[in-house]
Amino acid sequence: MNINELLKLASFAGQMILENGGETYRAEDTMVRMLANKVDDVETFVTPTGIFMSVEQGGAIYTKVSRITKRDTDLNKIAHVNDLSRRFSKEEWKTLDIVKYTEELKYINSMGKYNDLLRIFASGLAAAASMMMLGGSSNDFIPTFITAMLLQVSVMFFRRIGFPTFIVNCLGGGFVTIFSILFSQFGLGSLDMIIIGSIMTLVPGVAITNSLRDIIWGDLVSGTSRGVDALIAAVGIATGVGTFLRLWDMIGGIR
Amino acid sequence: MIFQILYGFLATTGFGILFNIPKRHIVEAGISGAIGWAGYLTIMRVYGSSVGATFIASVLIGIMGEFFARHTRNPVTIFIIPAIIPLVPGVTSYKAIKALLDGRNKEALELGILTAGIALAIASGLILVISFFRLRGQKQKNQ
Repeated sequence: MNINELLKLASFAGQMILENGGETYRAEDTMVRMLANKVDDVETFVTPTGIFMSVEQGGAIYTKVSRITKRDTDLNKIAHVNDLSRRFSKEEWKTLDIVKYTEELKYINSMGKYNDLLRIFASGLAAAASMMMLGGSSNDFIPTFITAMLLQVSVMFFRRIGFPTFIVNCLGGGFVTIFSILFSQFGLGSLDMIIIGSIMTLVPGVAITNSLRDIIWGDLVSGTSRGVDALIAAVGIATGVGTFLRLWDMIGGIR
Repeated sequence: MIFQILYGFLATTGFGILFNIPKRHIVEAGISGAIGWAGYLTIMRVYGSSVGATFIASVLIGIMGEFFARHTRNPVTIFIIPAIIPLVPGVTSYKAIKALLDGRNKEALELGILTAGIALAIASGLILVISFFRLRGQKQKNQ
């Protein structure tokens, strides 16, 4: 067995954690844990946009750099990779079946999310329930539910085309505003509460939480850049909502 | 109040499905969201400050997350991320933007400060819990 294979496997595991919404600390810890009992020394440097990993074995140094361009949220994959890395760390160098683990990791990477219909329903539920938590009335429940479901459909569509996140957030905010204006014009629910509830599903929750966790663990570079990521997402949503509210105002709409 | 806690549960499970958390842990995430929201409502009723209430809620969500993470041997983020989202200051930031659009700058500034206060309350609550549990984790490693 060859050390390059080990290095590839470990950095792939780290890459999967970063791509699916894991913290910087978790990616580093996973990679180090997987190789710690198998090689002389492991060092990693992880940022949200790239992984640098180097392994020392018998005087020779091996290095791998992986660029991270995809950023998604799939906490199921993180749980699976976490579990795999714990089992891997208990394996001995001599009895290790690296092909089996590589196959398993590839399988985890190919796992899908919940099906689209369930996710659309869930986003309606999440939006309507958080709208009620934020002080909405039961009249707003159904309109928010429908608006958030339509928002989720359009967001899924834009993501599939490959629009950048900022544009998706702008368009999403705009969509929500248009639908809310329509609903409130027909007397179904209040404009403000429908917008507030629906945009909750666009909120960059992962970026916010991970930014904080990175900063606590001392990964200051990652923490600040994730914070900026969250801020830009919020600006995008505000741009979409603000533009269409303003337009509605200009054509003489009542709010 | 009971309905409100139910909404807390439903919102968290909804976000949980959106973020694709494993099937068998969705209910646990929902429970931590519901407990966090119950804490929020209690503080709101007794003390009346949304910043303080958000702080307590995020502390509770952090504690529940760490508890479930240890219990089920899963990453703690699975339980924290979906539960924390309903606390995000959506209402105040929306109102702040609207005030800004209407040229009511003074009001926008006030709402902006409140938004920042709530965001910082979420941050400090989570940081408090996570740092504490990290300290304990390190002690166990050293022994």
